[in-house]
Amino acid sequence: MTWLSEGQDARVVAAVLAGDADAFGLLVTRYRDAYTRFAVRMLGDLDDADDALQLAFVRAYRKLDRCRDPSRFGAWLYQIVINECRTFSSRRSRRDRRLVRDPDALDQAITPDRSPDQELRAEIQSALDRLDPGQREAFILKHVERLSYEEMTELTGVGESALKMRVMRACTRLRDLLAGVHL
Amino acid sequence: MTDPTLRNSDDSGPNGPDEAAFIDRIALPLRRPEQLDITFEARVMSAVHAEARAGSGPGSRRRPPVIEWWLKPRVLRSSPLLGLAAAAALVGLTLLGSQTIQSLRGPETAASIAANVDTVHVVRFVLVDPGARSVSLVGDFNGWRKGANRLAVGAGGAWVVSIPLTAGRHEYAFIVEGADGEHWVADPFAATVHDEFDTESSVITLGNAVPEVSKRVTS
Repeated sequence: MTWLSEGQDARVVAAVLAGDADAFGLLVTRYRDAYTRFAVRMLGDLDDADDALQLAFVRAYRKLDRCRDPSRFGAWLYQIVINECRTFSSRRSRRDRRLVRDPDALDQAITPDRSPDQELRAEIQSALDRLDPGQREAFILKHVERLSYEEMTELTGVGESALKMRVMRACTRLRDLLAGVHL
Repeated sequence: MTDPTLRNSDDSGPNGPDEAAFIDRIALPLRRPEQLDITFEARVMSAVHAEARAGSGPGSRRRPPVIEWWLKPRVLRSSPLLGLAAAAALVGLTLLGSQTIQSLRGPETAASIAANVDTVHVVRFVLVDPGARSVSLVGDFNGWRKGANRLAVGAGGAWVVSIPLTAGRHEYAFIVEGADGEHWVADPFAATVHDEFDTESSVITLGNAVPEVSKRVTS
C-alpha cells in the first residue's frame, strides 16, 4: 500500500480535530478506492463491502483523536477496515448457517450472462468465500493486496509465522476447491 | 508501506514455481479494481455531519445506553388525583432535601471534594506472564501510548510498574510482546469494558472520585 500523502494526511486530520468536519471528506476521497477491493474480496459482495466501508469511515471519524500518528492515517484506517470486515464476515457466517443450501435450486437459478473472465473470477471468489476468514484475510492481504508480512503483522496484529501458516493453508485449500476449474 | 505495484520477494509459495504460478493465476483476476456506488462519499459525509451535530465527533465519549435511557425526555401521563399526590410528595422531598443541604453546608465540604479529586494514588500494576519479552501499560492516563509506562520483570515472570494516578475512573490494558508478536491483554483481575471495535480494556476506579453525573450537576 502506498502512503504518498502522509504530510497532507496529518494536516487534514488536524483540521478535522479542530472542528472542520468537511475536511474529513478529503480523507474519504483519498482512501475509498484504496480499500474497496480488499473489502469486496473479503466479503464477496459489493453491497456488504459498501456497508462495511461506510461504517469504517464513520468509526474512523468518531475515533480520530485516537489516531496516534496522523501522518499514517491510511494505515490506521486500514486496521479499522480490516476489523469491520471481520465483524461483517462473522455476521455473514451466522446468517449463512441459518440458510439452507439447495444445490438443485442453485443449478436452476437464472444467472445473468457473464464473460469467461467474470465466470472465472466468480469461481475463484466463491472458493475464497469458503475459506476460514483468517486464512481468507491473510491470502487477500498477501496475494491480492501484495503487502509484505511485516505490513500484514502491523495491520492485523497477527504474528508473522501465524500469517505465513494461514497463507499456506489458504493456498492448499484453494487448490482443492478449484481442482475442477480451468484456470 | 511499500508500493503495491512492486512484487514482494516472498511472493512465491512454499512449493516453488508451480505454487507461485498457481497463486498468480488465481490472484490476478482478484486484483481487478472494484468501485463503490458514486453516492458513497455523500452518504459517509452525511453520517459524519450527523455525528458532528450530535456531538459524537472525535474526542467525545459516548454515554452508556443506561445513561442515555435516563437522559431521554419522556412524556408522563397521569390522572389529576395522582398528579396531586405526586405534587405533595415533591413538596415533602424538597423540604427534606433543603434540611440535608443545610446540614452539609460549610467551607470544608467543597474543599474536601476538591481535595479528593486532586488526590494522587500510586497504583501498582502487575501482570504475570513468564513467556513475555516486554510488557507496556497503556491507558487513558498516558494517551494509550505504548512505551510510556513499561513494566519491569521480577521473579516468576511477574511484570510490575507503579505509577501515580488521579482519583477517578481509568481504562487501561497491557501490550505484551511474546514470541508470536504483540498482544493486547486486558487485566485478568479487573473489571473490563469493550469499545466499539470490541477491544477489551480494564477499568480501575480510584477512591473518592466524584461520579460523572454528580460532577455535571455540581459544575
